[in-house]
Amino acid sequence: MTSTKKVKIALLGAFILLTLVWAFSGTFSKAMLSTTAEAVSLVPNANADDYVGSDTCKACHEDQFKAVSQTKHGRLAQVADWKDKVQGCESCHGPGKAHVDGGGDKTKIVSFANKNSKEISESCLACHSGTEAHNNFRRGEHWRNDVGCTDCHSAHGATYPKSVTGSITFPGPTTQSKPTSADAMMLIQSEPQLCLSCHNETKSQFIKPFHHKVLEGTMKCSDCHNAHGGFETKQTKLAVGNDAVCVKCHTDKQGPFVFEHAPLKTEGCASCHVPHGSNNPRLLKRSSVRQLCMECHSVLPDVEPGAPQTPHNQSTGRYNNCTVCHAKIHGSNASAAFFR
Amino acid sequence: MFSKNIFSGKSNMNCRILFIALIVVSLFASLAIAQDSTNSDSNVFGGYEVRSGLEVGVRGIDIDGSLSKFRSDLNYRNGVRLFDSSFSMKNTTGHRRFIDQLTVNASGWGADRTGYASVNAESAGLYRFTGNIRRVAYFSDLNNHALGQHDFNTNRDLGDFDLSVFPIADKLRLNFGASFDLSKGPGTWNARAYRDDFVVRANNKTNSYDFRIGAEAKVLGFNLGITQGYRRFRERSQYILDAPTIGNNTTDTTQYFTFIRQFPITGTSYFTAFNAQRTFAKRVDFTARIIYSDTKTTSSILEEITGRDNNNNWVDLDRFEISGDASRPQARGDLGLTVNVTDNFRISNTFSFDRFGIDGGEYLFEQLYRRNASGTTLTPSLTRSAAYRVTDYLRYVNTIEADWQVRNWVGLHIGYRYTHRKVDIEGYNQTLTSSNPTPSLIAEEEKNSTNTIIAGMKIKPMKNWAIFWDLEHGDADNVFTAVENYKFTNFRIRSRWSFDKFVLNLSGISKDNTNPTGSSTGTIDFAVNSKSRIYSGSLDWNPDPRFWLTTGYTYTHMTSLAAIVVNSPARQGISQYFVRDHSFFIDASARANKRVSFYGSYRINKDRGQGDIPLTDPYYVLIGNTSVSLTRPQDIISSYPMTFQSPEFRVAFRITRNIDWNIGYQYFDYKEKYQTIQDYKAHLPYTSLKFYFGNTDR
Repeated sequence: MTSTKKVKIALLGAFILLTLVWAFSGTFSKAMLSTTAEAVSLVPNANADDYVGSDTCKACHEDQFKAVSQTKHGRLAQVADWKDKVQGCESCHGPGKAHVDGGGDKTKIVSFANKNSKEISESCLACHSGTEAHNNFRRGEHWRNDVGCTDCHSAHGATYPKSVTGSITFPGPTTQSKPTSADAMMLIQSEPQLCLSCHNETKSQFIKPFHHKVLEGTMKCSDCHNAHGGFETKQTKLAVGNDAVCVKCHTDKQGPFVFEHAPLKTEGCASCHVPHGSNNPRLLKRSSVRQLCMECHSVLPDVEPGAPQTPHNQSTGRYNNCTVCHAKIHGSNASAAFFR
Repeated sequence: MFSKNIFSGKSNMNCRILFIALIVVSLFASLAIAQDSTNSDSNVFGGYEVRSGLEVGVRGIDIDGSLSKFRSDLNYRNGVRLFDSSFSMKNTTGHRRFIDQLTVNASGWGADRTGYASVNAESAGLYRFTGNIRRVAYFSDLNNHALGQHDFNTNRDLGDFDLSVFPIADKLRLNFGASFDLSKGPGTWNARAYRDDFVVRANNKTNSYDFRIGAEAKVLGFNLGITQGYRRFRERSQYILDAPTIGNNTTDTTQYFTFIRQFPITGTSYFTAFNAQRTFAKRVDFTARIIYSDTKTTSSILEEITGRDNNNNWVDLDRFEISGDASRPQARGDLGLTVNVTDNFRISNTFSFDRFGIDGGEYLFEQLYRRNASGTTLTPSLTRSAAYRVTDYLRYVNTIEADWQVRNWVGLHIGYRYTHRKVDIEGYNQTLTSSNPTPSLIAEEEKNSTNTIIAGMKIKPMKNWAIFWDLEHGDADNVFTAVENYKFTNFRIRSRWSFDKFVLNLSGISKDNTNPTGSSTGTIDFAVNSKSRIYSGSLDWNPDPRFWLTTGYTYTHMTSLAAIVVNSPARQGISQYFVRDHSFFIDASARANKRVSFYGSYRINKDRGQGDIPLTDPYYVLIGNTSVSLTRPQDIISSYPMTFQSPEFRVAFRITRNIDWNIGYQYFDYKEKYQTIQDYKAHLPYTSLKFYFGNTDR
């Protein structure tokens, strides 16, 4: 047995052991029993008498009340399924009676100001888990890097800055002043500015000559990525069931083809293309197509796999543009060499 | 390849009508609401808070240099256009209405390369609707790709519509969706015959339609969801040539007189996706997903050529009938489990498997009727052949990780990922008309297993300052690139600091890919060595509602060395590629007084490529302990040094409470270092009126 395999077995064994120990501990048994209580409350063991209702909160927190009442959170009371659940401010902030009785004592209400991102996210997930988009949040890149729900969303609803003049082709802070779909998602900023506010290096890719039209507003980051995690690398989405997200729009690359260029489905589009933007035509990774092709199609001794080696004399200019002849490079139903 | 007279792309009528209808409805709704207003200082009308704006104007274009490259990059056109429009209404009554929230956005329609319109509507708990339509006037005519012979001037229309009924109900939620993707337009393409390749006209036409239906419900404490989907794809492109032409090989006798290729492809895809989730007592989070899809393609190509072949024979008819079909069933399963051992310590495990097979077969029948150079009829050649390919793919991945929130200001994670992949490709090629129709068999098997460690940390030294870093080190899961496993190390660090009205972002990303297990017999004892470094910083400053500034700089430094084999004869060489890309932007806007606002920006993307490294002079790199000259014929050194810059300026005059007059100018300057044929300078002045309805916040 190799040392790597031993490490793998040890890690998996440790995980199973920890899970079993915890599962049979009293904590788990008690916790399991409590799953039948569906009331949405972040405070365990709260009595109905401890809740004062949002109108009471309004007396002191009028601005917040007004903002929330126009959001989806504020409209939950009108939804049949939520009528028997704790609603309004106290659904997140917990029962307010002690807070009110204490004259606004901040220690007697659930406050998110001093909570860490994961604690805040757990609060949100109490209601927002259960849809496929959110199901893997706890195992996603953002969770892993401690980016929580309220880093992107505002539970009280977004506020609009004043309108200022801006570019006609690239959204900037001026875009924040106009309503967009971000409003419906209660995002604190519109896409892509929200995503670029951390992923700032990506913006440079979108101002290259060839790029997906994200800064222009035709596409959004969330058209391709699921910010809430997911099972795919780079948190990309899937298209048409099982295909890469690129196939959502690039439908002619979906295949299957009788003769399929092996990387198309097995390695993915990013083997050859830079998805955000590139100085090279067709968003290719190399400016010279033959260079891109030959980095795979060169059968070096001792190197897997057996990709066909180019038989062409590279000193001839005509052979420097592989896709002139191998025109259907993604896949063909008529030619094993992708000629037609 | 395209001339200037195709500057007017034909629009798809349906999309245009839909777009106009959308705008007219928004405009009339806005006007009606504006007139209905009894209080000019309020933006609440009939129980709705309304915000709306519409900017319409005229743009002019003057291009000095390569029109083809300008259109391939930007494709802005002159004329009247909708710069921007938005309309939003929100229910403020506190009671549910059929429309509680509606947002409509549209931009870029009229004379832009991309147009976009979106609608979001919902009624609390009753429904949620999202729809968007995109138009892309896609143009490509580049001399640095495929000899400038793969050109497009197509219009793409894409749309997505999704409706959720009872979107937040526990008991049952219903989801419906539909999408379309239509592409149509002329272009050029290559056809290959008789050891030569020809440029032919292409009439590109593809369309696809997607439909989705699904339901979600809570059953026995589990959140369950199922979606059934269907896609239909059609390609009806044609490739035509009706005038004699010679091929790219100008030294042979090959010539096309006529050429036609009918290219109908029909595809269907069905999929079923099932997902389940449950959080047990806030301690154990369980998620599962299974997706099964079955995708099929059928094609039948009919191709006819007349002309001369490379042996100087007259080709009276070379007719191909090729039929092919392929299917790809695929099953994917994922399982995620997170155990909250304590409130601050979690262990997660994610397991995924993916399996698909591609099963494709082709049958070809070629009838070739020729005469020799002196006109004597040659014996007709009839060729029948068949080919078959089967791909079997299996991959599974397991990731185990732990994250620990040590304190509110510091958290860390560590993990390990194991991947195994196996790909089998089998098949045969068989000439059926041969006297010895023995199939040539193809069999290939690739498999690899990879191990990766993951680690990361987030620190908040101050409440408004966060530093993240993460690291992945291991083997890349790629079996089909030149090398089996790239050893990779990816490291990212980000810092985000907000202070008063400043937000400062800094990030560094490092990616190293190496594989020293190349040839042990040649002079080069490595397979690949690629390093990239990205350093980026941005600053946002918004000291006052009347002023904002955002600026940023990103430097990308990448060098890739790969061992290649170049023919003929076969020689080992080096492929080297450089990126030294500097990207900078600054945008600022200021309101000088109640009437006048300014906006200015400057963006530049400058790739210095290989810098001062010459293309022809002796140039050496150290590979291992060996200094290798990269000026041998078998070496390829390349980069793409270029500069792309764009300043923009705009002044807005407030004419009335509801109307702004804007004057603006954009300039695009594109330059390449090694060629100038694609350089251009584009001047884009514009003027517009922006109407505000119900929005008093400016």
